[in-house]
Amino acid sequence: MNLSLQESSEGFALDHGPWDFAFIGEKLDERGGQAIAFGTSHSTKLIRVKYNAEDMILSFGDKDSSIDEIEDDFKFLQNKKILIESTTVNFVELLLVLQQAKINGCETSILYLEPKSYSKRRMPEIVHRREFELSEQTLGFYPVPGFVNTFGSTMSKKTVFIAGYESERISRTIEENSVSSYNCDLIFGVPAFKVGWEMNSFANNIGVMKEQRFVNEPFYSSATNPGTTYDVLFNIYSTLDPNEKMFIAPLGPKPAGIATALFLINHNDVSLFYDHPSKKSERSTEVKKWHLYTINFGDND
Amino acid sequence: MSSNIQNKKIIINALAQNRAEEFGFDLSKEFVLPPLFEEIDFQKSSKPKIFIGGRGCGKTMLLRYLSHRTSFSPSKETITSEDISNIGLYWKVDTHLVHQLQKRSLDIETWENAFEHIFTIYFAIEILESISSIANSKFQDLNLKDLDNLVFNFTTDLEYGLPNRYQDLRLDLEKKIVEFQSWLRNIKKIKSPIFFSKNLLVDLTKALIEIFPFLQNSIFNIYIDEYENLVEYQQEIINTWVKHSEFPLIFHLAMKRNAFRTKKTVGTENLSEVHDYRIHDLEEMPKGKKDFTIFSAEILLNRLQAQISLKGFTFETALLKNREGLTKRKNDEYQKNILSIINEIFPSISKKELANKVNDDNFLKNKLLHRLNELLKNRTDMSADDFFVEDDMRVTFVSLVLLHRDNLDPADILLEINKYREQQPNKFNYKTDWIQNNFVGAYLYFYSNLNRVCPLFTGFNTFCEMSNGNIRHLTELCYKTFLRASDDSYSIDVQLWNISIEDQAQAAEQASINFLNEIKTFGRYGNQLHTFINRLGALFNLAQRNPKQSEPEQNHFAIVEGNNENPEVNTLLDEAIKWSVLFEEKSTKKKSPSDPDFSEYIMNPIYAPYFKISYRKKRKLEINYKTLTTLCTGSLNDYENLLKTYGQKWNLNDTIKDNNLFTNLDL
Repeated sequence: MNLSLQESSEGFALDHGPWDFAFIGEKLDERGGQAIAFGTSHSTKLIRVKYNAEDMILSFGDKDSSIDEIEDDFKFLQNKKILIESTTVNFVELLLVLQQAKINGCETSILYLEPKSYSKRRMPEIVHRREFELSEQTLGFYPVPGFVNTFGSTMSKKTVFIAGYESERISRTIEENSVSSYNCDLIFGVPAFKVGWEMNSFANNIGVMKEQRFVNEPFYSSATNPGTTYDVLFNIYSTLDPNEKMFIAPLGPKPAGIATALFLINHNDVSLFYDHPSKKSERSTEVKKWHLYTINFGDND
Repeated sequence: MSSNIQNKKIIINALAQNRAEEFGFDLSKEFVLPPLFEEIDFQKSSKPKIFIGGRGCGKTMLLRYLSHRTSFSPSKETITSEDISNIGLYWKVDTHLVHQLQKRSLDIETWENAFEHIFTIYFAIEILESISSIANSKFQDLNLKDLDNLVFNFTTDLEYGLPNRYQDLRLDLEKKIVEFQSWLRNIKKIKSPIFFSKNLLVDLTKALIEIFPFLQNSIFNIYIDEYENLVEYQQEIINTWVKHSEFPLIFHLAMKRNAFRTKKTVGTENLSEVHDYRIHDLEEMPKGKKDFTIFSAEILLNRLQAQISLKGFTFETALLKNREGLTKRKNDEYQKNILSIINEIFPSISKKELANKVNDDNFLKNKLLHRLNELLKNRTDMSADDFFVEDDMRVTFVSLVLLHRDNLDPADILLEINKYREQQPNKFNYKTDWIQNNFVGAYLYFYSNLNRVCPLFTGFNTFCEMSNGNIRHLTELCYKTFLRASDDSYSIDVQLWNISIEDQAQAAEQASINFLNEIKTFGRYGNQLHTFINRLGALFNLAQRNPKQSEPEQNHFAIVEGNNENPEVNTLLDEAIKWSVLFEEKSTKKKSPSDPDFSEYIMNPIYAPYFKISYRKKRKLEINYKTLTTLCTGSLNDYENLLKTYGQKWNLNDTIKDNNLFTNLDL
């Protein structure tokens, strides 16, 4: 698999498309609006995707597809050029569409717009000065069939967290999935989108690492480069003990989510922990940088 | 010095583990039998049991203790036939597995069969493992070699098509899990496995009883942990098995409160309490009682004694782990001994000593003087010094709130103080007992406006009261205290024995903040619950700032007006109870016998140090349903208006403007 990266301060400067299909999500803020507008003007057809974790149904366009029927329903992607607009598309939709892109041999591009800033919490919910108001509610750890393996008692879990700003999601993953914090790794997005933002992630997560008694040293990978996160995941995967199985909890920025999705697609013995947060509207302000990632699924790793 | 630091780390680490998962499955070394064990009566009753309680109350520890990996631990010196008569099999519901077994364009019958199949395979393996545990233990009548020769007659029947030798059967069942998992990933592409029914478990246990005479009277107890994670049809299936539990397979459950999605069975009957099962509330029984204090002390000292000498005291390990030990543990001398050691580690001070500590702190003393002077500034005949009773500053703190009350003349209060000084009958104690009724409220009121940690939340007994039956809360309080104490000192002695009140108070506040933050992780409504409790706590904190303290220690509420129409509010209230963020109690104080029953909702006292409110259930705040709705789901503006309304009612609007409960935190 090859991954190439472009970045620019404006969308028009990116070398791209046109695409047959652009997969988009819901516009929650200004950058989402710009990202969708980009997809609209550079693709033949726009397809809105939304995954219902409770019912395990992917809605795309005007069709609902049960998770086990997605492969049949996505045959129209055969050898097409597609864009996945990942600023607005949620993690599971990204994962499912990427999987179909691989199956159908698509030329695949992923767009991501960096935020200029994230919205902070207002009193009185604040109990922490670096808390951010990114998620409204999380549904819980509903599995995404096809990306979860159940194991007998002899296997132990190696859980890899990709750290974001909402540290309570790490605690929740640990508590609700019987995760042993002695066998967890944490990946921080460093360098962050903006100098100094890594401090938000450190400050929020260090408390959790301490409270949950993490023992392993953290890993670091660029917040904007899915390739480096993929490499870190692969390094962890390569050093698993024979009786260990890997779980990934992608709680960080979208580029790390892209890396996680690609990794899960390429390694079916790796499982996903995901709590399906519903994002708050106006969670970020303005756009800092545009990223276009192009994927060639040709060879694994 | 470095070895001291190392020793400190070891001691602190003795309390670092506070989740059952961190202890593994063989708990023979760690588990201390809780006092409620006697009430559970495992030996005589084969009725299904349901253990309920919030996160950290010890459900998983108890179930793992009851499972064969602990009962037949290789480290146990003897395994008796009585041990063999109760074989525990454990399964924690895996959300990732059970949620996949529904919908996905397959019919419900297929999923019911699939669930029964995977459940059966897990427990068939557990049964075989339990026999292996017995063989691997010091039990005389079975050894591992016997298992090599173990052959089952029924497994090769057409219905099962399984190998008949023990080891082969074990391996084959593991393969069935892999086969099932592959199917579950690709239900459209891969043919479904042939589903087994629960009969396999019945046949397997009967066969084992036939082969091994020592199993003649054995019950195989199936313990299902985190039952609340099952989806509805799965609960119906399990409910059916609970209802129809019969020798040798008895089903037991562990769950949070309000966890039944349904009490239906797959038949026409419902599961009913008492008739079909008995409930054991792990938080309720030991709550606030001496039992819980002793039990907690035993757990802590048991963990600490492995690392350090407890001034000559040693436990007989068996005492803590065997049912027979429960009687001995009730012995007065033994309990006195335990308490004296734990109180030497986490000393407490009396309310009088607590109040008198202000004499040693010029800042606090001046603050108190200043506030009294402000109250007396128009009374030239009195000064703050008149109200300073250095021998018993409780009198001074109580005077601080009494002086705010319009119905009390300062001269009368002073008169009572003088009587107190002269040891004559007075209102500070004796019948009126102002001290008893007002001191805690007055003391918290004094601290409510200070950016200081309040020392009220200290001492082992207080830690136990704040933990309210939750061992995890208790161990975390103690762990944090050790951490705090070790930050202050390089000396090993200082940090284990006689930990200062200040270190304990700091630790209590830090633990309180952490548990408050933990609320966000309580299920899908975690964020909303967190906001709700913050708002509720802030309201109680506001009540605590009322200088009159005519209703001191308001820390729970009752809904006395309005109808519960908002489903979102009801869901949040249910969730708060489910996660033990609130405790619900039926009120015993009705104004007239004809009044309808109503509930009182008590905030988990572990949050009290953060909000600087009382941890004791004392007085309730009566609110209407609209207020509850604002606390649960209201906008920020609605909530701020609510605070303003209460502020006006309690004459506190300046306080709201000047003090922000949430901004001085730096975690």
